[in-house]
Amino acid sequence: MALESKTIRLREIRDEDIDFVVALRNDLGTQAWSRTLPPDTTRSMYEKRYHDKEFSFDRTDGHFVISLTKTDEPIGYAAYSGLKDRHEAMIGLAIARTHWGKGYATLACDLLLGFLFDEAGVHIIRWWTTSDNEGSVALARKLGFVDGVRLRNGIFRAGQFADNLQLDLLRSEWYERHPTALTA
Amino acid sequence: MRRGIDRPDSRVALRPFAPGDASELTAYLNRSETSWARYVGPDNPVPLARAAVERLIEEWSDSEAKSMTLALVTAANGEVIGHASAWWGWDAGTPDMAIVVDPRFRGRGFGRDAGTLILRYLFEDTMAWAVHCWIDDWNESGIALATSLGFRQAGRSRCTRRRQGEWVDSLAFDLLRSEFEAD
Repeated sequence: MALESKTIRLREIRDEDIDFVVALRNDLGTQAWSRTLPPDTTRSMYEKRYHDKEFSFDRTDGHFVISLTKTDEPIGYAAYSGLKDRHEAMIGLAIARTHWGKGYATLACDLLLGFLFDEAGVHIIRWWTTSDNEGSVALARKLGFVDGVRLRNGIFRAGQFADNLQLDLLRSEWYERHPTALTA
Repeated sequence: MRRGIDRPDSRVALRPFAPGDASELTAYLNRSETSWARYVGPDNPVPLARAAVERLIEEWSDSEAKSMTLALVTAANGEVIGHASAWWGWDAGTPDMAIVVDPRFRGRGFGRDAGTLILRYLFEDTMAWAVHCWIDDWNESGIALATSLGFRQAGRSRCTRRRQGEWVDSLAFDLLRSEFEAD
């Protein structure tokens, strides 16, 4: 069963997606949430990052392209990392600017959270973001994440300090909001 | 190997661990009072074998690592009474730090002395503009130490591990350079 809804799909990153993912990484508005990287990532860097991975039963991360279910057009990137068996994981995502404001981030998170709670069986999922990323904070809260930590001046970006924020979501809180997941 | 950190007016100093410290380190890391807050090795308090501690000491001698773990010693006679760590793998501007004092030496202010040393090092000799630390919510003495050093509680990360049948929350603390300099 794929990680898929009527609208979007989370799937493996394929050769034909690399240029799209590189473009996301080279956009300062959509790359990693805190550590700003020079927008000089190349296709070969990403091919090494993702294609040199070997199969393992001990994975602690997962990386996906978010694509439209009907056309398979890539529209974003989603990932989890820091997976500790049956305990916790962190998630993150980036949506291409041309697809902002269409609700795709919410749908992608629903799929990713469902996978981590239902299949990976984690107890809690953490969401790190920055105080200047209002869209990210609003999305996390909309998904049910609870404000937890605010580290002042945690990041310097765009010429100013912002706070690093951590929100978290318990499996029990997720199932309260998605009771059908338990009986599906 | 990293140089040590000391001040003429301090009762303690921080120096690199040496292979000969393995016995003392193994002993206090495995004491029941320390095992849940030792800031090395596994999150859960599985006993650490001496060989595992020797490997830790070897890892800590890596000068390329974006972290340091130093032996906390008394200035008077150089006795190892704990360790202090800092790590800045995510951002050199916002390192994390931790202090562990051998339970036999607690209650004498050595933790505060060590904290002052490492904070002075981070704020005066590195790029740090804020320092963070994370302390389990049951660890009242650790919370008191952080507060005495000027840290401000910055929130709570829920369910960071299990301890004695309960979920433990981890409390976040931060201290800005401007606050440290004003103190």
